[in-house]
Amino acid sequence: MPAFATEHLRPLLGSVAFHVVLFALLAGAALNWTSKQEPVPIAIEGTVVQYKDLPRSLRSGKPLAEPTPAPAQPKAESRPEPAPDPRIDTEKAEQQARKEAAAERRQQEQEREEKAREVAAAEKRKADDAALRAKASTEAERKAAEAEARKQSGAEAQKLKAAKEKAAQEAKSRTARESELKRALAVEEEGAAVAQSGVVDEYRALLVQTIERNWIRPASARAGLECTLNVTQATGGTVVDVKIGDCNGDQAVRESITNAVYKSSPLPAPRDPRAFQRRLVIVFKPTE
Amino acid sequence: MKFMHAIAVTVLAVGLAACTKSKQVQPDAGAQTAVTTTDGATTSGLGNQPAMGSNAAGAMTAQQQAVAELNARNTVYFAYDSSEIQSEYVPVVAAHAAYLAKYPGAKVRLEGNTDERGSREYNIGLGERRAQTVRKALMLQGAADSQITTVSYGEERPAAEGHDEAAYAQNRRVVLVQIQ
Amino acid sequence: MRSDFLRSRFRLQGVALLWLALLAADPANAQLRLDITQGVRDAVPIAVVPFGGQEASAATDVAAIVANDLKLSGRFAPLDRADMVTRPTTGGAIRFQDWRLLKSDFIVVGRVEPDASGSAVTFELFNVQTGQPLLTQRLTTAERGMRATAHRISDAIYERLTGIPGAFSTRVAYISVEGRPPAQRYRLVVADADGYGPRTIMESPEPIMSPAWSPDGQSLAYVSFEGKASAIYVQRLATGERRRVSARSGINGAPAWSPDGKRLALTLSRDGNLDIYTLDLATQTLARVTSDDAIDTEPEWSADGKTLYFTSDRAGNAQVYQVALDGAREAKRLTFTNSYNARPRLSPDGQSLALVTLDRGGYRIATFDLKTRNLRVLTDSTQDESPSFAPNGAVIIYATEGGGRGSLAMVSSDGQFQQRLSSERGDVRDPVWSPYPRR
Repeated sequence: MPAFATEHLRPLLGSVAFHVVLFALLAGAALNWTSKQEPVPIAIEGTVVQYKDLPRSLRSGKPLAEPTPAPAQPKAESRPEPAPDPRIDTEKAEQQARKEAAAERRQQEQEREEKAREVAAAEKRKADDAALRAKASTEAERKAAEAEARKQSGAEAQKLKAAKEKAAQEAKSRTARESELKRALAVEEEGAAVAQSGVVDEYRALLVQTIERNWIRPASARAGLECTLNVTQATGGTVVDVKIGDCNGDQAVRESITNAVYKSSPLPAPRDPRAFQRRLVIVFKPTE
Repeated sequence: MKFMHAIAVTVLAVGLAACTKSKQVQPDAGAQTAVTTTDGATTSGLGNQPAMGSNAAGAMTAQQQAVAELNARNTVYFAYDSSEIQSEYVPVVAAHAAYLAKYPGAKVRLEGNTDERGSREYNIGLGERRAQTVRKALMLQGAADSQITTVSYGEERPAAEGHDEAAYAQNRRVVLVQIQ
Repeated sequence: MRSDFLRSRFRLQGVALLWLALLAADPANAQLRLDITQGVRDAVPIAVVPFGGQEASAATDVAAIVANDLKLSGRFAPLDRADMVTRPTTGGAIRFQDWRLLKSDFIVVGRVEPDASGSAVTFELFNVQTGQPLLTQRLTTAERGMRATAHRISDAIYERLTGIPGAFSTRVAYISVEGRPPAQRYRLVVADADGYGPRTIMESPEPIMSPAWSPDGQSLAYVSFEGKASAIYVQRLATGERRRVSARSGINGAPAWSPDGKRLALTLSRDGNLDIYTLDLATQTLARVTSDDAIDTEPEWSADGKTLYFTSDRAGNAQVYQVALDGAREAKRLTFTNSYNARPRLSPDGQSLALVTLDRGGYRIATFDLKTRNLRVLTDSTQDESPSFAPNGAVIIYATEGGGRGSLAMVSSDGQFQQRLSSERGDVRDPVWSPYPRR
C-alpha cells in the first residue's frame, strides 16, 4: 500500500484534493450560508428561484433586465430577486418600518402590488420548472449559480437604501406570502407527480411512434443492431441536429436511422408543454 | 376403324410438319400425341403405325385389330400420391398383358405421368413409379421384360389443361402405347 | 440565491432534491431517451431523374432502366416521372426541398455525353433528407453497351444504399411452353435479369426441363425428351454447340453442376428406381451416391463440393436430405416440418436452402436455415415451385401460377417483398438465375 502511495502520489493528492473540494461544496450546500451574509442586512422583498430551475432561455449568465414597472404578464418579469433570511432581517426591518411607516405608505402600496405580482409569477414559474429540473444539477452549474448569486448580492448591496424603504410591506404581507408559498409548494409537488405519472411517458411514446413510422428498416438491420442518435430539436419540433453515437450498423443502417429522424421533423409536440425536451437520445435496437 | 385410320394419318402428317420447323433438335417421326375428347373423359394414344399407312384398303390383320382395340383403352388412372392400380383398371392392364403374351414380338411403351402439383423432377420419379407398377403387373400376366420400355414425363405432358381436381385426375395416368 | 432557497420550510426538501439531483446527475444535461424497436418494411422511395443528353426517343433510356431495376429488386419505390416537377441533371441543380416534398429519400441525377469511345454516362446519388452526396461515377461505353452500363449503375446504387451487391447485370434462363396438349412447343430461353431481350437457345416439340447454369455462366445443362426419352445435354451459350452427356436407359434428370464445374450430379433410373449419381464430365466416369428403393432426385451441391442436398421419399413422403460424397454415404434427413419438402437450392452464402414445401395445403417457396433448422415460408399461393437464388442472395425467382398460366415471380429472401414478372406469351416455368458474369 505505501509503495502504491508513493508511486502514484500526484494523482492521489489530486484525487484527494478534488474530493475535499467536492465534499466542501456539498457540505456548504447543505448548510445554511446565511451567516456569511449576516453583516449585510438586506430587506429586499423577493422570491427565490434556484438558478437550475430557470427555463433555459434565461440561463444566459448575463445581467437580467429590470422588471417593468407597469403591471405586465408574468413572463416579462423574469428577474429573480434573492431575499435574506427572514428571521433575522425581519426583526430589524420591523423596527425601522414602525419609524417610517406613515411617510412611505402610499409608495409602499404600489410597490407591494408590484411585488405581489412578481412573487406570484416567480413562484409559479419556480413550481413549474422545479418539477422538470429535478435531475439537472452539475458542478459547473452550481458554481455558475454561486457566481450569479454573488453578483446579485453585490448589486443588491447598492440597493440597500431602497430595500430598507420597502421593508414595511414585508411584515404586512408575510402572511399573504406564506400562504402563496404553500400553494406554490402544492403546485410544485403536483408537477413532480405529473411528471412521474405519465406526461413524459406519453410524449416519449408519441415520438417513438412517429420515428418508427418513418424508419424504413434495411435488410441489414437485424436483431443485434444497436445504434444511438443524439438529436437536438428546436421548440417547435424542428430537428436541428442529428449525430450518430455508438452504432454497430452498416452504412445503409446509419443512413436509414438518420433519415428516419429527419423525415419525422417537425417532431410532434407533447400534450403537456412542460414535457418538452430539446435533446433526445434515440436508441435503435430492433427486436427481431 | 376407318375413323381411327384417318386420325392416325392426319396426326402423323401434323407431326411431321411440326418436326420440320424445329431448329436444333432431331425430330421424331412418330411424335407422341394425345387427343383429348371434348368431354375429357378419355384419352387415347396413337403410336407409330406405319403398317397401317400401307394398308390403304382398310383390311387389317388380326393383330392390328387387336392393337386398335387396345388403343381405345390404354390409360390407367391413379389416385393422388398413389401408384397403385385401382380395380377398375385391372382389365385394361390384363388386356394389354394378354396381347403381349400372345405376340412375343410386340412391344409396349409405358408412359408415366402425374398431375402438376409439387416439384417437377420429383414428379418424374412418381410417374416412373407408376409406370413400373404397370410393368410389374404386365409381367405377372405373361408379358416379357424385353417387350416393355418405360418413360416418365412427370407433369410435363398433361392430358388436360386446368388447375383443378378434375384436370389433375386426368393427368395422373400411365399410357400403354403399343409400338411396332 | 442558493441560501435563500433553503428557507425554513423548504430546507429539508431542498437538500433532499439537491442530493438526489447530484446523485442522479446526468453529465449530458436534461434529455429524453427513446427506444426504437421496429420500423416499417416499405420500399425506399427514390427519384431517378431522366438523364440529360438523352432525347425522349433515345434507344436506351438509362434512367428508366435503373428505375426499373431498383423496382424489381423489391426494395425501392421509384418516383413516377410524371410527378417530377424539375429534372435536374447535376447535383448542383438539385433543390432538395422539392424532393423532400415529393417524399423521396434519395435522388439520382445524371447525364450522357459523347465520348471518344461512344458515350460517357455520369450519375450522382444524393440523400434527399440531408442533401449529402453519396456516390458519383462516370462510365464510358459504346452505344450497344448502354444497357449494360445502366445495369452497372443500378448495381452501384443498390450496393451503396443496401450494402448488398446488385444482381442487375445477370441473366435468367427459363422454359417457355406454347400451344395446348398434345401440340405443345417447348423453348429454352435466356434473358437479362430484368426480362429484356429473351433469346431462344433451344426448342423442341418434346419437353425440356431443369436448366442449370455452369458456375462460369458460359453453359447450360438441361434435360430434353427430344429422343423420346429423357437425356441430359450441355450447351455452350456463345456458340450454341452442345453435347449429350447422359442418355442412359431410363431416366436421366436433374443435372446440377459441382462448384468447380467439373462434375454433374444427376438422377438415373437404372433398375427402375431413381437414384443420384455424379458424373465426371471429362472422363464420363459415373459414381453412385444413393441406392435405395425410394425416389432420390434433385441433387444440389454444397459450397465445398463435398456433400449433396437432395429430395428423397424414403421416409414415406418427399423430404430434403444431405449426404456426404465420401465415406459412409449415410444420408441425413434435414426437413421435419410439413409433409412435403423438395427441390433444395443452396443460397450463395451457403447458409440456407430454398425449397418447395407443402404449407397448409399450398405448395409454396420456403427457406430452410441450415444452422437453426428453421423453415420459413415466403410465398402464399398454391402452385409455387423451382426456386432459384439471385447471385447476391437477396432475391429468389420462382415459378408460380396466375390466371391459368405459368409465370415467374420474385420474392426477397426474407419474404418481405414479392412481385409477379410479366411473362411473355405462353406458359413460363423452371427459372434459374445465372451466376455473376466472370469479368
